[in-house]
Amino acid sequence: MPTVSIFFIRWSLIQLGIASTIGLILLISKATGGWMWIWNFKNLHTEGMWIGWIINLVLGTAWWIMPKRPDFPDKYGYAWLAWLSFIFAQIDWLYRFFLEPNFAPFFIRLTPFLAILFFVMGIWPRLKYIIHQH
Amino acid sequence: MPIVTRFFIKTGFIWLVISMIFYGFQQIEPTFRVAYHHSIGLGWVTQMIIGVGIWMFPRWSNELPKGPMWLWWLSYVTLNSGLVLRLVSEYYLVRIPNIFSPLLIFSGVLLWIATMAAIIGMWKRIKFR
Repeated sequence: MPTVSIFFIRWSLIQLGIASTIGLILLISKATGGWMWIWNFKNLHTEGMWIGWIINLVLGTAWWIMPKRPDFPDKYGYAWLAWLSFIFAQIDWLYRFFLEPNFAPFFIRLTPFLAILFFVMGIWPRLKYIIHQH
Repeated sequence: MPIVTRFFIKTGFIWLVISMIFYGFQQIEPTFRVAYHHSIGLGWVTQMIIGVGIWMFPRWSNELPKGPMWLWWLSYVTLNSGLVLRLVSEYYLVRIPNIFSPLLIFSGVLLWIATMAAIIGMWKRIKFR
């Protein structure tokens, strides 16, 4: 498994753990009416699940499992695009986890879009190869 | 395909159908919006990921290629029972709080156990060589 996939998937598991823990505390707060401070982190729970867990895991697995390019120097393709994708996918969540849970500047909010764009640029040549084979 | 994978994937499809019902009715009943997000996010997508991951990810060890099965079954049972309990408890929380407040917390604990079991099972299989 390529290193960037390992980073994507292991980080997605960490995100799942964090988002689940926030979710548990949210439910305790909802049931008891206490621990209201946790609602400041509701967005981290939601986006931690959708982008942190699901999208990170899908991207990491896709980079690993999609058809390879034996004619490329690296059969997985342009790994630097995958690494850029990984870095940009985490910026928004990390900003809001460490700095401001409920707001991020617009250019920070755009980073997941750039992450997906870099990933698509990296994976696209591997998909095109399969079409030509048939 | 391991049996536990089949259970995860088939149950995931059932949750997908259920989530679409919640999606359709969320304008009539506001609590269905939360139900929709959790039934599709946890019930469908997460179960599909776990089920296929059990099947496809690198081996845990030569002796246990898919990892300890009890861990996956624990994840399956707690995920689905927790999700059912969570959706029911959330709906009745305002109506009968004395009964459904502790049940809502218990559902959260079940879901947390499910995700921790999945994390433990998958972590060791995603490794540097």
